[in-house]
Amino acid sequence: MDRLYRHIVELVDTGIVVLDGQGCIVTWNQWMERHSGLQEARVQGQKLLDLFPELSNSRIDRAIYKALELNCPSVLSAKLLNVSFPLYREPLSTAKQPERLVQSIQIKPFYTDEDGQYCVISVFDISSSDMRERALRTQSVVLTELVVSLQEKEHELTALFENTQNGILIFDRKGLIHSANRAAVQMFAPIPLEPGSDQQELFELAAPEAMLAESAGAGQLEGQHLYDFFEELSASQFGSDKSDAEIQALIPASGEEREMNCVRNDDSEFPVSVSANAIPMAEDDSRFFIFVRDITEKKRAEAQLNRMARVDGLTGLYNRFSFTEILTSTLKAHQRSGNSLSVFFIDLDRFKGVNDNYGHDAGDDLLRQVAERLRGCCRNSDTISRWAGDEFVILLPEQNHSRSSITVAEKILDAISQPFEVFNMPVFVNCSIGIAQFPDDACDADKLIFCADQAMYQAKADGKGVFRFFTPEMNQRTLARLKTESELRVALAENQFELYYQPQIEVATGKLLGVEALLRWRHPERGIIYPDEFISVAEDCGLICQMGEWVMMQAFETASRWYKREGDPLSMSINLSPKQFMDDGLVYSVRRLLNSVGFPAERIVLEITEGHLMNTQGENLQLLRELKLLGVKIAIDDFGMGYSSLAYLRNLPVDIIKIDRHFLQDASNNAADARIVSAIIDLGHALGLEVVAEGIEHLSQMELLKMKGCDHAQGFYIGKPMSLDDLMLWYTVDREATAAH
Amino acid sequence: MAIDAEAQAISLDLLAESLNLGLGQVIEELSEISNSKIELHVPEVNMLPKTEALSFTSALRDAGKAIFVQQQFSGEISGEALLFFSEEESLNLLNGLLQDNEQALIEFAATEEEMMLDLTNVAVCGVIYALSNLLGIRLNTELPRCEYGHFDDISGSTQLLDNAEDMILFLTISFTVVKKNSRAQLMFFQPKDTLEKLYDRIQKRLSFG
Amino acid sequence: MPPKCLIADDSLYARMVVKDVVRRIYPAAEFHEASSGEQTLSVAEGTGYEFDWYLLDVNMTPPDGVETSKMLMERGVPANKIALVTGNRSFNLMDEANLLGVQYINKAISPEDVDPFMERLRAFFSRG
Repeated sequence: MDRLYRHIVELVDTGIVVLDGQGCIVTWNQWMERHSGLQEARVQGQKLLDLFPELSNSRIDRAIYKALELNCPSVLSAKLLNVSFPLYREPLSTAKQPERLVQSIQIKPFYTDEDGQYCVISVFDISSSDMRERALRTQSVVLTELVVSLQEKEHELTALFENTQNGILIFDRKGLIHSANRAAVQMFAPIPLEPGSDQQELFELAAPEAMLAESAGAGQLEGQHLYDFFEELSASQFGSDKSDAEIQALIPASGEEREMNCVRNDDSEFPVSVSANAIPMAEDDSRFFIFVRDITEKKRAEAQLNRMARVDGLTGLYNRFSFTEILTSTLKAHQRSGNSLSVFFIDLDRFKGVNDNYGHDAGDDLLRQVAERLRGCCRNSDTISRWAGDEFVILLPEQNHSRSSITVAEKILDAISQPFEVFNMPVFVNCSIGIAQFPDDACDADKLIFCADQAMYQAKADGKGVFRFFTPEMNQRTLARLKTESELRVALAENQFELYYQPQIEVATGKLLGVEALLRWRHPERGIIYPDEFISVAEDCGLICQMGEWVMMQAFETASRWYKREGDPLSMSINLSPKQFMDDGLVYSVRRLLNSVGFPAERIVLEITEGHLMNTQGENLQLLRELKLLGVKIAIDDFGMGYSSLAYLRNLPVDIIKIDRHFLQDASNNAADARIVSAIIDLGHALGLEVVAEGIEHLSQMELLKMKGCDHAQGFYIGKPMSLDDLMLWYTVDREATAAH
Repeated sequence: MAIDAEAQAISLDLLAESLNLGLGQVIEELSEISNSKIELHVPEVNMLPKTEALSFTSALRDAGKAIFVQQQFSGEISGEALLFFSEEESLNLLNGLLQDNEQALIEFAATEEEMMLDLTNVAVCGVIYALSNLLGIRLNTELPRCEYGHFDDISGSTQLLDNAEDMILFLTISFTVVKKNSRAQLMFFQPKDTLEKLYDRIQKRLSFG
Repeated sequence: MPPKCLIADDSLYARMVVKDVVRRIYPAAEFHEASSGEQTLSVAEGTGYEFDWYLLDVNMTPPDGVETSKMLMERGVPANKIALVTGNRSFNLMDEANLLGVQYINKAISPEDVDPFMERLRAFFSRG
């Protein structure tokens, strides 16, 4: 066995040095001899540092100290090694220009009770790139540890390979096992039966001798044949007529492990990873050793991770990845059979409110209950997944007339609309469902889900708590919006926006008081486009803030120019989008613009629609107050349609109300509308607010306003929205006309 | 054995302290190896259920390829140190160690793998040595092993992530090369039974000092 | 008057060790403890900077020991009353301590190191 150990140390394509506790060389293998030019007999017993004084204070020196004194291993990488061993490719005597090996070094301490502390140094030559990959990427660590364990047990000749974690079997060409280490014996031992189990008792009753023989033979792998333990190997592959190369071809050499299946004597199986090498011994009597690593645990962990990767941890439903997988394979089956299937995209309404009001634990609990109800509405053959957050996607395969997706959708809507109990509180949510169908709407998984998603958005837009089937128009709408979005980005970059200004006059005097700035998009192909065609897209894609900023800048500049030219400040009304209103930067922008243009703040009017103001919560109210502190005025746009309560209006920091144009359209010949207009004006004045009437198109409307004492008016009758140049012109003509009166 | 909250807090505290002491010991060595000023410390140590620790790893999962260093130690207490870091972080760190005239590393090959093994081994050995010193016991440390690939492909080789209900020790090591301002967060896992045994030892050692 | 000592370390265990060793030198010593740089400053201020010694760890939630030392000195604490008690053995840190004029003391890293640690502390106490 001593010879066997020596063979392995000499077999490996690696430098092996063993040092004792004093740092003296015990082993110096042929590889080291070959590359250093120093014979083992010459160096044995010498201190490594005396032999190579240039190593003192190097990382190698310190690593040896750490191994021998601190019991710590080291990995010394080539790149971070300051000094390496003087090892050369060819013998120094013959080489003209000796080429020093690029070295990667591992040092591992070990301890024997008899002789105390030792360490093994493995030196890998990584001069060429393929050697580097092989040495570093493969089994270099296993090798170092094998040598360590060999060294540790060197004096115990009977237990050469004990204590390595890997099973090691030594066999010959016939496949006959000559020796096995303890790890291998344990690995191949039959699985012990639970003591006292029925099986155990039966076994004992039936064949007590066999039982005894079994346990006695448990340690006896010697004398058996390797191929009996490996599913992939057979007796015909072995034999004394086979060459070393033929045997080696059966199992990959160390460094390239292969997975195989092992079979124990009791027919139980376990997965392993193996590699083998030849040990050239006497002529024609080669031995081979095979490393066997039990990978049962690894496989189990893989399966576990695999499961965790497929299922949503919270609800136990499939996650989006596995859902898409399942949908894809189901689609394939349906393509063959010609059946149709449906995909439901479900989004909870008001889920955010639950999360915000009761916390995430409540939200999680709710999601679990929703998942449970969804299961109740579906069949086992349906696939339910949690797509993201509060979104669920369901696959209903094999659709036919007996079970329509409408029935299922209604069932789900009904189930979800029933109150939930979360932390002992009743919670009401709803859901919106979008439905897409194969093969009508799309034929691949991603597109089907996308269609269902769009249909879900439509369901939400149609008032929530309903389901909608996908229609091609939804697609076209989506595409149109996407097109508009990209064109908007171009428009911003290329300055395709313009501001138009609509004059506002004082009703009592007819004098120009100010203007409302209105955004126009001069599209290179489609001409002038009005905001109602693009604002909602801009709001959705987040461009609104940038656009709003541009509008304010232009409007401020115009107002400032007008002021400088006419000496009289024009009041400038600017529309704010609710989205812009949520932007933290708004107050900052307004302050910055006010400071930079030098224009009286009270002549700037920021308009917010009534509908939006009604939804204004604490934070936004604070923002309104901050804006007011800057001195600008706040106007409520489209007033009268949003059913503001009086009390609410009184608490808002606003200065102006603009009567919705719809009331004025018929006010001159509809008594009810006229009374509403009159009431709004009175109400506004009672609250100390200025009142502006919009959409004035006739003289009669103007007369009504005069009679009711409305403050300001704007509309086509007075002047349509116009470019700045036109406004200047209009102003001059208007003033001359007034002067002529 | 159940660990009560206070004992657990003290164990974690002692562990964090010994980790920092251990890392403090090797800072100078790492600085010398790399010829750069190194900062290395453990900001905090947590006990987490594995499922939560796993969710930390989902970041790695998303990050694409990752490096995964595994190092076992045994003796009176035994355990497994597992360090994960993303390919990007490790390249960032290694680039910090390169001389200015060397070309920046853009991919992770065997040589880089070995450099990471080298550096993490110095740090992990420092930590384990400090731990053995504090507790007055002898610990044997195996050589580190390194795997490189997608998280799901490589995490199978450890049993630590099995059994999701179990608690594990989870901490990050902040590793900074000051010169180039490159930094890596290494995550470090320990199984609970190590901690329980550690707690036993701590009870015996608390008179020290 | 028994000596008064402010010990700052984010580890409870580390503070225990330091306290214990100081008590071996001055059994009657009084202690205040802090677990962060910020707390150190507020404890020091709250007690009117009346400590005989400030023993500060380096790795703490910011400000770290070095920054805290600087701030204490800005508030009039003499450098010779401050020591950085640390496990960090880098020359950079030693240089920094020297530059500030504060003492640099290595923590005890093992039971065998407790006595040498006590000597290191004793040397610091007798210096001021």
